[in-house]
Formats: sequence, structure tokens, C-alpha cells
Amino acid sequence: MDLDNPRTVMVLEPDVIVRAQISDFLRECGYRVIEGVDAVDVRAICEAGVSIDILLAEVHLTGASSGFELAQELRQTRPEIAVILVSSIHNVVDKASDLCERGPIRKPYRSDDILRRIQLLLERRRQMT
Amino acid sequence: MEDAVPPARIKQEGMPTVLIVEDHFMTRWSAAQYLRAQGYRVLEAVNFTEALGLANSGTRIDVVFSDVELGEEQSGLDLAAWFSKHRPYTPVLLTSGADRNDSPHAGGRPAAFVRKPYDLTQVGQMLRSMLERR
Repeated sequence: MDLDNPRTVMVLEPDVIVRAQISDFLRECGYRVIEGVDAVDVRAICEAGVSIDILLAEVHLTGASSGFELAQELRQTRPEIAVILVSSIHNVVDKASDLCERGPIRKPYRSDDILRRIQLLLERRRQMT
Repeated sequence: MEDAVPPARIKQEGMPTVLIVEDHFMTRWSAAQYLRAQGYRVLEAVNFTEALGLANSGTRIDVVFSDVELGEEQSGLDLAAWFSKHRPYTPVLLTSGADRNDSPHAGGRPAAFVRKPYDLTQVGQMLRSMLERR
């Protein structure tokens, strides 16, 4: 893993609106982003031989494994992957911003803007249901 | 909320956005990879609920590429019917590996369809011509 030049992030997030916004943001910062929803997706990618530099994962995953369990498993099977666990929208926006600070492309976004955008879209969805 | 705006009045900024709806991870991922390499902005959804969540959030979607079989919930046919009713200017391309004697109908009109296993190049061409025809 080349921490000085990370290129591929896998985003594991069950909420599609958060997942899509964070993934978009990271792509605009120059990362290649693979989107998933649970531990099964990560294992499928690893088994396919795709290299991931960073796993940005929500702790509350659907499926049998939590983010914690997955992180522990990966520490054994794929120690080269940097695992970042998040547990809230604020968390995931902060971590994504950090990654973009170190990303290939300097993006003029502030984390406030991303957070506000996600909250707006979630509110709109809430009004629909 | 953007709704039924005729294509002529939409100013195309940047590459179009395709929403891929597919519950099998590797299938979805390889289609997403390919279409991103073609320059599309790609949104990924795993089922009907996620697809609707994105459609209703106001995020831009120019074309939909969806499997018919989407797990436990409503199918791609239901999704195509929803788009036909609420987003009539957003074309939907359906795919399926199941045996079909006739092409699928969604909302009473024949839906654009490509059989699985599909050729990604062909999918790319179909999406492009669907976007041009809007």
C-alpha cells in the first residue's frame, strides 16, 4: 500500500444517498471509488484480485458482519488495506474530507458543503416517505 | 424538484449520469467501471428502494440501466413503470438473464431490453442512442 499515493477507496455504506454523495466527492478528488453495502462486497472485490488502498466503512452494516468484525478480519487477511470506520454522517464527511486533503486533486469543497448537501437530500427523502 | 422537463430545454452540462440498478455486486461493479471509463457519471443502486431514493433526492439521472430481477422487492419492471410515469424523459434500459418469450413491458409499453449475459460495449451503444433520442 502506498499511503503517499493512495488511489483506490472502497466505500461501504448501506444508505444509498450518503454512499452516492461521498463516492462522488471522493471521485472528484481523484480517487477511484468502489461502492459496496456489506462485508460480502468487500470479500468479493478482494477475491477478484482488485487492490484497495483504503476501506471507508460504516460500522453499522447490513448482513452478518459489522464494520468492526470486518476490520478485524481484514487486519488478518488484508493488512495492506487501511480501514477507516465511521459511525455517523458527520464522521463519514470528516473522513472523506481528510482523504481529499491528501487526494490526487485539490478540491475547493469544504466539508460543511458536503454535509449540508447530504442533509438536504436526506431531508427531501424523509419528506417523500 | 426537476420533473417532466422536455429534453430540448435541458442544458447538457458535462457527461450524462446513468443510474445502474443491480443486486449482484460484481455485475454492478463491472458495468459501473466500464461506463465510468466511457465518461459517464455513474450512480449505483442495489434495489428498487435505493433507486427510488436517488430518483426522489433530486440528484440528476439521465438514463437508467436496471436488472429486472432485483431481489426481494419490486422488480426492474416496476422501476421502469415508475420512471415512465414520474420521469417520462428519462429512458430506462432493462436487462435480465431469465427466460423470456417476449420483450418485457413496463407500464404498458415495450421497454428497451438487453439480454444477460450482455456485452458492455453494446450496452454503452444502446445507452448512447437512448440518450440521443430523448
